Amino acid sequence: MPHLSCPVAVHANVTCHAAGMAALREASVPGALPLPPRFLRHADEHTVVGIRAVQEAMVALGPRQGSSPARATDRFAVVAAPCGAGRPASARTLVSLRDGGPVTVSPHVVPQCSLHAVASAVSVGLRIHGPNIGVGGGPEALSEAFITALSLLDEPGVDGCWLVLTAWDDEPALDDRGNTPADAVCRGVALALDRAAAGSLELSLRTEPSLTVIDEASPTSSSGQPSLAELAAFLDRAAHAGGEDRDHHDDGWSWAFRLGWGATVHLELDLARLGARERRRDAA
Amino acid sequence: MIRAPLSADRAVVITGIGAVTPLGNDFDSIADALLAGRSGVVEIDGAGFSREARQFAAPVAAIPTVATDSDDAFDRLGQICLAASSAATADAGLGDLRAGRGPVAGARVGLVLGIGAEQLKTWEADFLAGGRQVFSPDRPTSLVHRIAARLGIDGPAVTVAAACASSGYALALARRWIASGLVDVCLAGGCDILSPTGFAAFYNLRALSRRSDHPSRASRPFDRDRDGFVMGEGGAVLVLESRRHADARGARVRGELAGVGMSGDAAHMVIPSDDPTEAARAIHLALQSAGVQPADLDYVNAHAAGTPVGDIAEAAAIRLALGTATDHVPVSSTKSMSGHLVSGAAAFEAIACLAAIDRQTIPPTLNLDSPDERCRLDHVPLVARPHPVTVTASNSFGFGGANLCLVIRRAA
Repeated sequence: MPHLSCPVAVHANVTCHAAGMAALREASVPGALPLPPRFLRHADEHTVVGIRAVQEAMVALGPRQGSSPARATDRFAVVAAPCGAGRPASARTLVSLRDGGPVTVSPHVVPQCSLHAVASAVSVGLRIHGPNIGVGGGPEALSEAFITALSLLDEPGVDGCWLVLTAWDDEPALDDRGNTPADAVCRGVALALDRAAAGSLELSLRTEPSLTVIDEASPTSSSGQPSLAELAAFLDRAAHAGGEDRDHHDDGWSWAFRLGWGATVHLELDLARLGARERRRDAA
Repeated sequence: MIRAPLSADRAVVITGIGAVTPLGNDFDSIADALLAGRSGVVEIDGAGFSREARQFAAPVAAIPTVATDSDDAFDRLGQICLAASSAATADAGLGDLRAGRGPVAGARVGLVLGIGAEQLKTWEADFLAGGRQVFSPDRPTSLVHRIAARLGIDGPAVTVAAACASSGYALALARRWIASGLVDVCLAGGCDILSPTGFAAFYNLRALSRRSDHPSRASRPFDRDRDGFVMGEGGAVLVLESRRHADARGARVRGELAGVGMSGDAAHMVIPSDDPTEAARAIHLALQSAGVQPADLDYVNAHAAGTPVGDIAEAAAIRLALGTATDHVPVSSTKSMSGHLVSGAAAFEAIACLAAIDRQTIPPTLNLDSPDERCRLDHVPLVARPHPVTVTASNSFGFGGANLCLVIRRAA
């Protein structure tokens, strides 16, 4: 059975309260490729945290093969899987449509509130010329994103993939005007999938000959779908793997969940490879 | 990195077609309409759609009913997607997938739908009916999973979105799944509906034609007097499988999805780039992955929606990608008849390519009275052109600089 896999060259995790979103729209990322002026002015919250996560990951990636961080991934695909993106802006648009008629509908609702919005903003804002695709949109977004990103790596002209995952940590209820509670947290996670990378973290999708039940040990939310916050927590642990933690997990760290159709997604930390990388770094 | 074309037995072929469109709901009806140069654009009640009392669009006249024993009630978008998917399985002779027996028993079947704004349209339909879903934290299951469950599709199911290229990306992903062995059979395509928010947003963006005096003459791609696109609704779902799998079950093969090319302009969220490099790269990659040269092309189904900027950009991209062959490859835009099906456009236009192959005739660009000098191509204006057709390409370009080209050819 097919086994799709790819090293994760780098990853980043960004969170922002709704109250802090206006400031994040304007904030630059030190060392990162700057966005065009006022680029995020009309952007959805998911786009703001998603693009910020990619910028931070680009900085962590650093220059590669003599190119700048931005240019290193300019032929990557962008696969962005927002879960429920565009809801506050959609609510405001619908209220406006009801109260003021079609003339009040903003043209920005199409490019900024559709499923494609995060992917296209990352591509346009950061000048990435691979295909840009929105995936999921609903509660199954995470699992749909992994299979799509891993599949696209085999397409012609695709050097790698920015996988961008966004969600509210707890999906907020909106008020009657479409406003979001100030303390709602929106999260963006970006992973650079690059077959040429020597990353210690690997994403894979393994199919199985028959359907299987959900593994009790797999980190899943109550809906049966993994949550983005759980994934981010694993990535955070992986990023800080080393020292005494490593002694307790000498067979490697992994995060996995089973899909309903007989496949399993794995994110695994190869500690041997991590050790080799650290030794190279120490030697340098 | 460029990959070699797929070997003959791993070639991905099209064995089923399901459609719900302004020009008909089955392959022959659609092919007949396209080759007759029949427009699906009509006057509609503009109330709720724009400030104009009278508007025009290419609506779906009737959505076929899908027999069911399920309680899951679908809205208009869901009904169109379900009807197209169900018709595709029937056309491919897949039988009732829920029964777990029949022609594809034991096979892994997948589903990929290109739908650009499912959530927005679901919230809108609910809100306009007095509901409050858009304010609620509850997240309903996506349409693709509901349709998979309804039809008994037990493999991976994914929604993809790339604006007006969405259903083309769905076909591309399905092709990759089959080529990699992830699934044996895959339904793929996409659909869209006319909705007040979408219509008003495009209207306010000034992307829509305003020639309301004569609706059927409003969609005029590549014409000097074009002034925007005409909204359409509907879409199509195709059944894809490997040539080996199709032959093993004795399936009728309608054509081969021979190549795919994708790229991003990375220029602007709405406006196509005036630099044709990336759009041409998508075309080039598609030809290369199919193992064909520009001169091998017998027909290009253009994305050309009739916008002043977009048509010029596409003509430049075609010319850059095809080089000296450009002057000898017939090009037409079937959006002149169907309107722009948005998320469903690319899958519908794949059917137009199959129609050209099946009928050995190229569908025309309706209303192309005076070709724009800046769109210099081998146009097929006004009436269909009999022509030998073996290899076709279909372009789709979307907001956010999403570029896609599919190469569809007569199956060997």
